[in-house]
Amino acid sequence: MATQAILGLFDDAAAAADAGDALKSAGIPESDYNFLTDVPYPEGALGEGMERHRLYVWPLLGGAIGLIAALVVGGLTEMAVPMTIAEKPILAMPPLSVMCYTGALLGAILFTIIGLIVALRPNVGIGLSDDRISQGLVGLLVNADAEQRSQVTDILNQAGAVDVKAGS
Amino acid sequence: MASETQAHHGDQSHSEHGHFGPEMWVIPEASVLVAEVNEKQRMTPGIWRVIFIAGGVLTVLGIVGFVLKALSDGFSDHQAWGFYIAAFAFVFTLTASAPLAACAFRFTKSHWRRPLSRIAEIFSLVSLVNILLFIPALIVLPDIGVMHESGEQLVRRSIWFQELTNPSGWLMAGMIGLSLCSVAILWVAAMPDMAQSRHHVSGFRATLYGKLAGCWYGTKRQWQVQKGGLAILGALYFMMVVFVQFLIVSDFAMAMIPGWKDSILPPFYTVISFQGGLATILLVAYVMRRWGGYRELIGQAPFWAASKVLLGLTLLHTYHLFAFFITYWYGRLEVEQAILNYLMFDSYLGIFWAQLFFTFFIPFPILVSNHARREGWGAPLAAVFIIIGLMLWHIRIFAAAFAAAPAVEGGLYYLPSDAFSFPALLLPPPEATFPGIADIFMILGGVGIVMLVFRIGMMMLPPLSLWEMKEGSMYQRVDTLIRGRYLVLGKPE
Repeated sequence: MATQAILGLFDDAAAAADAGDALKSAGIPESDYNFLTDVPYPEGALGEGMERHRLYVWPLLGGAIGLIAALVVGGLTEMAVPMTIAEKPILAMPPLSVMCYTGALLGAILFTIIGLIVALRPNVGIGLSDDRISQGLVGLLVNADAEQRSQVTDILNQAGAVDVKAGS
Repeated sequence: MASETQAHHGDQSHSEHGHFGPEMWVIPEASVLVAEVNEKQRMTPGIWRVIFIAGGVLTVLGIVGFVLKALSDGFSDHQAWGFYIAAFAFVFTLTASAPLAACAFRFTKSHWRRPLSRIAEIFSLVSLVNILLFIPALIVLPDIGVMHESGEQLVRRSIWFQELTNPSGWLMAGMIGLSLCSVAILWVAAMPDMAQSRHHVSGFRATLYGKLAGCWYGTKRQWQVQKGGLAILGALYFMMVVFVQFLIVSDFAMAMIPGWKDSILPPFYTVISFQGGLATILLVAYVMRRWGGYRELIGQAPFWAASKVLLGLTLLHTYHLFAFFITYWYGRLEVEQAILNYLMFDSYLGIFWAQLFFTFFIPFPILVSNHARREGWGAPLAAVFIIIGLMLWHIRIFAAAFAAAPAVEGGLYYLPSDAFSFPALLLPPPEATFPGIADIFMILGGVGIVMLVFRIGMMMLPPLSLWEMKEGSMYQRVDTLIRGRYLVLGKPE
């Protein structure tokens, strides 16, 4: 079923939180609406649930790949161009540890950036925004089905929205 | 309690408010902050033109110096490039630690850091220049192992000893990783500000903001990912910057003076870098506040608070210097005495004392003074002396190290059978090396390129962390308690 984006703008964060509660009571799932803010509000301040992300997996994965790659490249370099010094072993662990640390961190950084690019994509279809959010207004964006549109608009208006906009 | 949430611009008398009155803080009006900062960015007061032109001229001088040096000496003799290495290390020292300040003070959730965060992060752009500056440094760095005419392999002692004949690839990987991480921090931190500023800019900046922050809407999930991303990148940056500093000082200073083995030098260099980074941030913040048109947005509190950190780092710098000296002084090995004479008490005696005055004897009393710190000019003034002192430190350590020994057998290189004999090569210590005109140009070019790139960064990106300042205004207000007015801070975490 086709959905439409409806954006309610509130000059009072408490009113926006009330609107969120009203949407929840009306049976609109939390995944269908989003608060748009110009600052990070404290956890739970707008009555929304916890949003989980798994960003930490990316540096761990990248770090492991980087570590293995550095170990292989460092080891192969040593085999290819051996430096024979006194009775010391061919494979010197201290400099190899320097290479492994470099590789692990480089991998972790690269993968974290990839993870951020993936995770920063909005988790709902957002085709509607308003510049007034950057001036402190709180936006409540709802993806509503055709039969919910008027109900959602009423909820937003009753909660005290200063403006309600509908997307295409 | 009567509360006030409007801006306080630091002009009131603080005598009735104790030593840390609310007038030191700026609580901006959040609803107009984006428009206000974008307007200030457009105005371009004269100081920014001066910085841009001076930076450009000095950068051109640096390029001229580099070309002159390359034409006259080539790249085969590392001893000719000591001052270039000093200039590179100086730029690296000042700029690599600056983004860390944004991360560290964000970790500690201090409110006073908010006007400083973006200034610190914009130095990430200079880290891209660091990659370019690093290329000639790697070219002139002598190999770890070279073939003797007899066909036997000669070696020099370094952290890569036994493993690699040339560590350039790994050194560059570290530098690229560091730059990548710092630029990512800048991107993630500036994304909300770029998105919010899209409607206030036009032309190139509008296109740039659209590309870099087009996906930002300020959803709860995006704020959480941004917070997590900054935490992870900040931690990785800290792990990386300390490590790359260790590589730079080990390879380009310690390993270049045969027999110099000092476990204090890498942490000493890290402390110096932290000190230089913070000093640079405070100096820039002061210029922005005093002459750049941002007086109403940067209060005195950042200077007051950060000056204490700078004082601590200045003391740590001096402690490490003393620890370095005293260990070698009582050790009294021949090579240790030679190194002390070379770097401190003979060859580079004048520059050593000059550096000590600039990094400790002058800034220490300034930073200790409550009056100087509270008025906001104390820390930036101390920063000027510290930055000059650190330039002298880099000349004394890096230029001296590169000039210490030639890349020949009995100089930097040994037969493998002699590689563990810890030779004292510096008897008598070599004479100090003085910079030629090309060297002076390159050092000035190092300063110029930092000014130029930073200024370009300020033109392209929101120069203040708007979302953090707005967040701060949500958590701060001035309230009355009995008869005094005090700042009240909300601490949600």
